[in-house]
Amino acid sequence: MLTIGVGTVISEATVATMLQELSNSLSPEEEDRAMRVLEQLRLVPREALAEFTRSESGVEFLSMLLVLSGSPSDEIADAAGRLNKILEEELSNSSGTLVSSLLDALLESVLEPKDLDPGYVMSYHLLGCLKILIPRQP
Amino acid sequence: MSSPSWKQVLSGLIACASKAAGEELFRRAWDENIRALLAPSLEKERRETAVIQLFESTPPLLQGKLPFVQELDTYVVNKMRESVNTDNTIGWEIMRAAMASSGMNSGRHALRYICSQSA
Repeated sequence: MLTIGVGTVISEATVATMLQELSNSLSPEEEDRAMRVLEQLRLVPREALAEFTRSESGVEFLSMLLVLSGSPSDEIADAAGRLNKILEEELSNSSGTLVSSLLDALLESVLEPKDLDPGYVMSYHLLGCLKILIPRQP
Repeated sequence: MSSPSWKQVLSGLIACASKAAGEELFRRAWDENIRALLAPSLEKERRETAVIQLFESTPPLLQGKLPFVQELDTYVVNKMRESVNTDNTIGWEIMRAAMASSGMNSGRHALRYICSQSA
């Protein structure tokens, strides 16, 4: 559940639904759609994206961004890379809950890679996130 | 049916809220106006514009006092889905305005509201 603001005009669940659906629309196979979604995600308030990244779907979202940042399309790779950088900045302020979920996902991707290349990219990315996060834990 | 004037509607709602006219009255006014805005009889383009105006002009004073209206949430999510598939510009605008009005950019909204009141 997102806790973006005290008062809302639309419900927090709706904000979460929108970000989830945008995330689900990111696919390396559908370049036009991925580019449209990446452009829109860059305009979403950072706080909302950060909250979404901390949710259960956050790890999947981050790993997809990493896959897209290696896209043969320069446009997609640049857009995904910029968004990823923004999120990494936000992640540096994250809580231990995120560290725990990242560790779980990291173990899963290492032990049970569903697809070799994305699994490798995801593990590499998550290790980078953990380097940022772990020193900050109490 | 003409598009509701959202400046007027919001002025009325603000007056309701500031005078503590009663939560039930406020809730009813909000619900009825949202439902009128989303009524199928309203021309599509005017409705889209009015929804954006609604989000952009809702002052921070009202955040936290606005009752949840499921129709509005459904409308916003559907517009976003439409935009993902067809790159509907107005749909993206609605999505962004909705997110920005969700208490995340309250400073910007507060500034805009204060400026509009003092103009």
